Amino acid sequence: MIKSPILFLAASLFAAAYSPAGAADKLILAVSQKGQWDTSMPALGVEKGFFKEEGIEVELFYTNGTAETQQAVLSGSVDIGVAVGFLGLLPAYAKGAPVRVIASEWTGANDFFWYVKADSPIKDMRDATHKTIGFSTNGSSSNLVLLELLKQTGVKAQPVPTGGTAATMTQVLSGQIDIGWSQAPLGLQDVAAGKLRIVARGSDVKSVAEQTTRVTISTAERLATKREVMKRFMRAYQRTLDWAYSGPAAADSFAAAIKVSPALMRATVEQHYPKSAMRLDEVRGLEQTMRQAVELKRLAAPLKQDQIAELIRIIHGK
Amino acid sequence: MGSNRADLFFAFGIGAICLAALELAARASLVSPLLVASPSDVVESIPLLLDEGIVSRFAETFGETFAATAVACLVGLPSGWLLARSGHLDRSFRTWVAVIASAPLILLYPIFLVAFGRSSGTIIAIGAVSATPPIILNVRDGFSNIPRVFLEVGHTFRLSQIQVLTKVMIPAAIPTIVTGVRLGIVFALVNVVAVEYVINFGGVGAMVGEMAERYEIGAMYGAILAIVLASAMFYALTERIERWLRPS
Amino acid sequence: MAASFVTAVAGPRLSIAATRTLALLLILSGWEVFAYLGPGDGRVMPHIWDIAHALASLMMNFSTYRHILVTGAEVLCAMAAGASAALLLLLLAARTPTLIGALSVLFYWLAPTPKIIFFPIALGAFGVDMGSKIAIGALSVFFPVALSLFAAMRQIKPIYMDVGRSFGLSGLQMFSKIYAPCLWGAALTGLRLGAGLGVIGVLLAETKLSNRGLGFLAVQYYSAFRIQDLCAVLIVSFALAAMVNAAISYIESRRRRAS
Repeated sequence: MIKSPILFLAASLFAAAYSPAGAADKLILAVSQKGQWDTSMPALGVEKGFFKEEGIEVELFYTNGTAETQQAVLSGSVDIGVAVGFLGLLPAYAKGAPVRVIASEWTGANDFFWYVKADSPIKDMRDATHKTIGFSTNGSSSNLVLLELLKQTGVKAQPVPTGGTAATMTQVLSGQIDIGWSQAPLGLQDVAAGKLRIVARGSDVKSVAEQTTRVTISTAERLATKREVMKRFMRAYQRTLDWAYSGPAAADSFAAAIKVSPALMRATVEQHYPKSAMRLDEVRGLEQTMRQAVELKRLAAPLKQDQIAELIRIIHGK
Repeated sequence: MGSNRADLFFAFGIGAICLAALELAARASLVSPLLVASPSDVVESIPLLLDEGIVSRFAETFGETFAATAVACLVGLPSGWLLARSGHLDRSFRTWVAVIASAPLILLYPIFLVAFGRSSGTIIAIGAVSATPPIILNVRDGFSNIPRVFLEVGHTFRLSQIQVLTKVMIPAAIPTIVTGVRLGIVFALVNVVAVEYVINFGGVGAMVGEMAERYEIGAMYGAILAIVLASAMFYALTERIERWLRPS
Repeated sequence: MAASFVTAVAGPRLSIAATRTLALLLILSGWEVFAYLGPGDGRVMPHIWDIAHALASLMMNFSTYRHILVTGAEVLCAMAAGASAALLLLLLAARTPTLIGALSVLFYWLAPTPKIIFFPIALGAFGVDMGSKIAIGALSVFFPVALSLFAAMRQIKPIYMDVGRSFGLSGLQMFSKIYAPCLWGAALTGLRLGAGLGVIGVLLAETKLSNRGLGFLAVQYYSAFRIQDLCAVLIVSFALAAMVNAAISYIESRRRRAS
């Protein structure tokens, strides 16, 4: 009789000592396009130990673009996808994909800019009439922002899909296209050196200033089974953001990693990556996004309210 | 190696069985509709494919592959002949050609983009560069491995050099050369489709990527079937050419 | 006539090494002219010395070797898996010539499909790490090996198989004494062709989703428009493909000597 309680207590202590609940929870992340300021937050959080402090072990994988990140999440092989294009996500959801938006990642278009070679006769968008102007691919966020830019300025330029930022840079430098698009910080070093000139910025486009274009996603199943872990993840993510914007250390570290000058990177963060654009707690501009999705044939009809409520399940701060 | 009607019939049969199994698996929800389309979904996507211009895109891919193979033959046939005729050049460069055949040339596409722009030129150039090595190697093998007795018979009959070439050497080397051209077509088509997909420009390869991005999975597999169709057409074309060159 | 001219000029005065060096110099000169005349002041088409500098930096970085090992391991596993699958399918179909013919046709038709399309399926089946890259690589290797093996199988004279059966050979004996000697060469030819496609498949899969490997490095450099570093990674990738090709040639020469 006496031994049983002692044995029970010993067994409990033993179980507690080797309980998996004491070990760190693991999350596998797929992050779109390494080398951008906003997508460097997960790596920064790992480096600073914010995720570890929340008892989470984060493993990072990088993809070539948001479509690949989305595919990785839907295949069930990663828990969270960071920086997924919201517009590209909608057709997957509409076709029954069990995808859920757990946080906003990027709002607005401050990160985009359009540029020409320094010796180009084009000084600003007024000179862009009948000129070729690049965007990534049909239906991409750069495509949307460009169309809004042209609508806003009334310029009749000729949009041309030029692929990614590097492929576009190649085409601008070799004269195959008049105006190229880019995403900060790629190209800004050349702008500072006087080799390229910016003719338009995403921040000029008022209609998309409050539109969320990239989100953080997971699946319904992962959200159900790992909700508490994901809440702690997002808490650590917010701490990472707060730290990154609390001083120049993060920008300097990022500058060293991508081999640009610290001064340039600090200016880039200030001009192109305002903290307000990286808020996590709200997906904004839904009505506009739905309209664009229908126009670009991503959706047959706008999502209904109950569908939006099912799709967008922000867990940050809740 | 040629195929016969029985091979084709059974190939279609095996294909039909596989498609039926896939249809059953999809209906039983054994495969995710976001990753794999059932054959009926592909059929239902035909109007969308036509709307998106699959016919012209198919013609574009087919044309690019044809052009790439033609360029590869223009370079590969005389180069292979040179290697067969010059032991020195053969010993110097045959290994290089074999290495180039194994090299991931498609990753050089940024360089080709500079030279040819984001256009069919880039796609054809990469296709041609990829298709040339197998053609060179097979032409070289074809002419190098002609049995001596064939040549001796030609000399016995006092054939001129041109006659030895046209009546003895080329007919003897044709099977190996056609194998090389067939391989070249495979390499050209693989690389043409891959580059179209990677740079999101051009024919059916780009269409596969677009449909995947839009989660039109049925249409995506429909576009893949168009690639299979292109391959089948090239296969039939090379068979015809081989039979025309070697009626026996 | 052209061959005689070349032979007369090139050898015996010029050794093979000298001929290769001359050809390499011509290629490098052509590249440098292109870089000099090309756009972007050497940023789009880097100069040879910039590429050489980038290559040296790459090879002096310890983490590069980790990436090389990862990609190398993925390629070797992909080749083993792809070739084994082709061989297994062949053995299952061995007794039915019509099946072999039909499968040959099907493989030829399916060979040009872009295997990278199936990467999401590979991710779901094999996870985010090396497994999915090996799967795509194996799929890429499978078709050229299968085409070679099946073509060689059709060339085996039926009398050989009749003799084997009349001697009551078991399946394993049929394989080792009849099929294997006839198929070795084709297997190596197929592997040689498949090696390149396998390297491409693995590298493309690494560009899609990874955190290590030469494909991962390539896409990072390209995204940052560091073209000289990209060229350096491509040179290493080409060297990897060359090493695989050399290994196959070595096995081939050993086999020839043994037979």
